[in-house]
Amino acid sequence: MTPKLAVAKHVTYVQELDNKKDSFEYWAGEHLRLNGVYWGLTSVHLLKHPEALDSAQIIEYVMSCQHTNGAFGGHIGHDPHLLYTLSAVQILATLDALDRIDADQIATYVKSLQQPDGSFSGDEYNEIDTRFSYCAVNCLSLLNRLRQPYIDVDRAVEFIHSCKNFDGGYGSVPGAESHSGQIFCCVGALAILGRLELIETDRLGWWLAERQLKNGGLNGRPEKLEDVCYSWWVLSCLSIMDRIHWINRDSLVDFILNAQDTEGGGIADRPGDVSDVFHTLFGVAGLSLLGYPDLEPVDPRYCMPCSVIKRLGIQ
Amino acid sequence: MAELYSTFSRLLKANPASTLIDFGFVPPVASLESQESSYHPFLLIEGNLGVPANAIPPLCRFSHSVFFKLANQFSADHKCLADSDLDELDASSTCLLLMNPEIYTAWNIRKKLLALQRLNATEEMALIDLVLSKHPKRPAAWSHRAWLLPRLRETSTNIDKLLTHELKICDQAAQRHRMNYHAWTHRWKVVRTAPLDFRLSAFKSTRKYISSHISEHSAFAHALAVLESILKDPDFTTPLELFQEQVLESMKLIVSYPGHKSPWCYLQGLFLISGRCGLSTVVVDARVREELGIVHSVAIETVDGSQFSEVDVMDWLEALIQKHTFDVSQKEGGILVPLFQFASWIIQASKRVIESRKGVAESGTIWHNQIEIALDFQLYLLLGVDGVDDIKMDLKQNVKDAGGWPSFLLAV
Repeated sequence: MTPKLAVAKHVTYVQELDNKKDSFEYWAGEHLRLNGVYWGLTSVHLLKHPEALDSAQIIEYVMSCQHTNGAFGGHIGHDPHLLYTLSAVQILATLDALDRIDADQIATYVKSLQQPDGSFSGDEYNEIDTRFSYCAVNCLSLLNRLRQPYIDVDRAVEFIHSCKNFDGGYGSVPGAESHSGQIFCCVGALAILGRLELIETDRLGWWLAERQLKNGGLNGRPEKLEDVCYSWWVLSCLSIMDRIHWINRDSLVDFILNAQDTEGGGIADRPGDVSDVFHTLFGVAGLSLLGYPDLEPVDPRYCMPCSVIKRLGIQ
Repeated sequence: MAELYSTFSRLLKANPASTLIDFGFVPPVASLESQESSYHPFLLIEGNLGVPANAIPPLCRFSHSVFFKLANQFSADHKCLADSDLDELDASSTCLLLMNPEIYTAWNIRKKLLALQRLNATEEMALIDLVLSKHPKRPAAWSHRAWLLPRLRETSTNIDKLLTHELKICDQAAQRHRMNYHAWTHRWKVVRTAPLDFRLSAFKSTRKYISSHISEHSAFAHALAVLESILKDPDFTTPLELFQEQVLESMKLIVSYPGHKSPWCYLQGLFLISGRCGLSTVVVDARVREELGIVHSVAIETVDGSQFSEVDVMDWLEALIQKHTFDVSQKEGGILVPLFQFASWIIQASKRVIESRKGVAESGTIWHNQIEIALDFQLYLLLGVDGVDDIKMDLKQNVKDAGGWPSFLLAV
C-alpha cells in the first residue's frame, strides 16, 4: 500500500537538518551548504510551508558566503563558484530579498566566466560544463540581466547546441555522453532563452521516456538504476517539451511516495534507502510537476515556485 | 587529534603519492594512539595506504581547522606566510582531500601553490591518481586533473606517455565505479584532440573494454564519439570498412548478450552518425546476414515449446502501425527499411542463443527484455514521422494491459 505524501514529516525533517551540526555527515557536506539551503528552502515552499524556516537567519547566512567580487562560496570561507552563486540568488529571490545584493556586480562576475566559444567556466579555473551554462543563464534571468553587455546570448546558445548528441540528448561538453542531469541544464537554459526550436523534441522525448523502468522510477542514463532525483531532471524536460504524458504518471508517483521515510521524514534516492535533503526536494518537485494535490506549482525551468517566478515578472 | 594528523603527515612526507599505488579506508582499530616508531594506526603495505575508519573523523576535523586557518591568511596575502606555513598548507590540504576530495577550496589553494612553484606538477598528478583510487567519481578531483593536464603537457618531453597514463587512470576509475561519467568525459577530453594514431589505439582499447563490460553504456557512448572523430578525419583512408566492421561487431554483441540495452544503443548510434560521416549504410545487408547465419522466416520454438517466427513480430508491429495512419516512405535516406530488417534478424539470431541456454531460469526474462528492446529500437526509427506519439502511447498501453502483447510474448 503506497503511503500518502507525509507533508508534516518532511517539513520537520528539513527544519531539523540544521540541528545536526555535531554529526560528521553534516560537517562533511560543508562545502555545498549553500546548495543544501536552497534544496531545503525550496522543499518547504513547494510543500506550502514557507514559514517553516527563519528567513532572516537564512538571508544573513547567505550573505556571509559572499566574496568581494560579488560571487558566493559553498560555505563561509570557501571559494566563490557559479554553482553556489546560483543557489544564493535563487534563495534570495525566493525570500524576496534580491535588494540585498548588487545585481550588476554579480552579472559582471558571471560575464567574466563566459569563454569565446560561448561556454561558461564554473570559476576562474576554466572547467567547462553545460551545468555552468545553465547556472549562468538561470542566475542572470533571475537578476533581469540576461542580455548584452552581460553575456553573449547567441554564443551561449551556440555552445549548448554544440553539445547535442545523435540521440537528441546533451552531455557536459561536445561529444560527451547524454545524461539526464546535463539534458535538464541544456533544455532548461534553452527554455529560459526562448530557443526551444533547437531541441529535437521527439527524439529527445523518446530517449527521456525510455528512462522509466518497470518499477515506475526513472534512471538518468540507459542501464542505470532508478533514482528519485531523475523525477526532476527527466520530468522537468518532458514538461518543458510538453511530453509528460509519454511516461506513466501513476507508477512514478508511487515510486516517489515509496521512497519517503514516513517516520523520520525526507525522501531517499529509492525505496529502502536513507533520506536526504537533495532527494527530498527533487521528489517533492517531481510530484508537483505530476500534479500531486496540495503542492505549490513548480516552474520546470528554474526549479522554484511558479509564484516566485511570476513575482519577478518572468514570462 | 594533533598526533594522528602529524603521524599521517609524516607518513606522506616519507612516502609521497608518487611512491604509492592505492589508497583506501580499512576497518576500525581498537586504539588510535600514535607510536613514534611506526605509522600506527595507519597501514602501509607495499605502496597501499590504509586509514582505519575510526581515524577518518578526527583526521578530517583537525586537518580542516589547520587548512582553513592558513588558507584564509593565504588568500588575504600569501606573502605573509612563512615557508613552514606553506608546507603546512600542502600537508593539511593533502590530508583533507584524501578524506574528502570535494573540498574544492583545498584544490584551489594547491593550484596557487603550484603557480608559486611550492608544489611539483608531476607529484600533484600522482596525488590525484591516489585520490581517484579511493574516490573514482569525485567531480572536484577530476576538475583539478583537467586543470593540471595542460600545464603538465607544456613541460612534458613525452606527450604520448603522458596521455597514455591518462587513459590508464580513466579506465581504472571506470572499473572501480561503473558508468563513471567523469572518467569517461575526461577520457574523451584527452582523446578528442589527440592525433589520429592515438585515437585509433584509444578506440581499440575501448572496444576491448566493451567486450568485457557489456552493460557499460558510457563505454559505448565514448566509443561512438571516438569512432565519429576517426570517420570524419580526412587522413583516415578506410572509413567504410571500419563502419561496417562496427555494425557487424555490435550486432554480434547484441546476439551474444541478449537483453542488454547498450549494444542496441550503439547500433542505433552507428546509423544516426553514418549520415554525418557521409556513409551509406545499406551495403552492410548481405554480409551481416551471412555472418549471423540468419535464415529468413523460419519458425523457432520458444522456451516453453510454443511456436513463433520473425514474421510474427513484424506482423504485430505492422498491424500496430497500420492502425495509425502512417507512411514508412516518409523516412528518407533508405535507412529505415534495412534497419527494420536488422532488428528482426537480430531477434531471430538471439532466439538461437537463448534456446541454447534452455533450462536457465531467467531465459524467459532475457528473451522478453530482448524483444522489448528490439521493438523499442524499431519504433525509435519511426521518430519524426507523423503519428509516432500515438504509436508510442499505444505500446505503453499494451504493456500496461498485458493483453495487448503479441501471443508469443505472453507465452514467456
